Amino acid sequence: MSDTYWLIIALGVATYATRSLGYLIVAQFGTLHPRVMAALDAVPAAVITTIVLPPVIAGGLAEQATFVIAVLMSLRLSMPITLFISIVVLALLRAVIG
Amino acid sequence: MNWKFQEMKRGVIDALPVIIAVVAFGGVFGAVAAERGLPLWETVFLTAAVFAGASQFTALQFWDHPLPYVTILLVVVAVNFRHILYSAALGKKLDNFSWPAKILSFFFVSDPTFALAEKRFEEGAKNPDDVGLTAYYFLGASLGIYPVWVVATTLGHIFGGLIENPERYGIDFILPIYFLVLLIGFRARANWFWVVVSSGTAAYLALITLGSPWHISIGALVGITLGAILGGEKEAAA
Repeated sequence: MSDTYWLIIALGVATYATRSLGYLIVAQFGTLHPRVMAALDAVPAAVITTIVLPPVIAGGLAEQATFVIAVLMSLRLSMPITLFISIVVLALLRAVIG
Repeated sequence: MNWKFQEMKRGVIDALPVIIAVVAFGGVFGAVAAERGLPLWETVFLTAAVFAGASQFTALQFWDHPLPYVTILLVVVAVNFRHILYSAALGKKLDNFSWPAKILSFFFVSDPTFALAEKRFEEGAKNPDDVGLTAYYFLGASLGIYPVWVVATTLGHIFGGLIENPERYGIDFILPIYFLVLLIGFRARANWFWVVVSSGTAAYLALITLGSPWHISIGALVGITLGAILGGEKEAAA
């Protein structure tokens, strides 16, 4: 087997380690300190924000308008409907304002 | 239909926007890997073994022979560092999972499956009759995404990008909007607004100074630290 395959195996193992390590550490503790609980509770918002940020700031007018509309719609509507309308709106806006 | 099947189905349905987006995203990865000179089997093996798109794209940037093994390994771990946070956040939420199910599920921990798991757990906590987060739901979502990701990568490598001009149809923005809506969905959590603002500000500063992918880990750590500080104080005052 070539070295490339060993590299890919190493990448797979290392990535699996990142996916299991946090759980294995936290599961060791019976109860968690309130601060740790608060930290873990903040993980989805903290990380997803960083994922959403680059496309939001890189977008032009059509994209940024769509993001605002999507946020407003998501306060009332379900995910599939919000997503569908947003994509249609974005396609239209791009066609109109480029 | 029994509840296990129902939960698997629900997982697939909740992941459906990701599954659609992954056709385009996986296709692009396959096409870029082909351009970078990776043979088909290496591309398929890489995509199947790692299953973390952002880190795979980063790895491709360094994929020149002779391969800089250590560099590639380090950048992949850096980009996937957030998974440690995800799996830690799930630390007390997988009680319904058997150990074999946990070992299998860890492999599929990703941005969308983690966010869906957190959301499903939250719903379960609100209603005592709800089964809550189970392996059936998690693996339903995961096994909806994974095969499509691998097949799309394969086809992308063979035929080039699967969808010409994904921008024209707005497909390139399915994932950003999906994650944005998921993010808004967590707004009932303590100090959500300040976590988002602090993480976003730190990520922005990291992006314009250090560049991608450092904005993810830095932004995340700042947001989580603020969450711990504000959350801990509220507990102490109560």
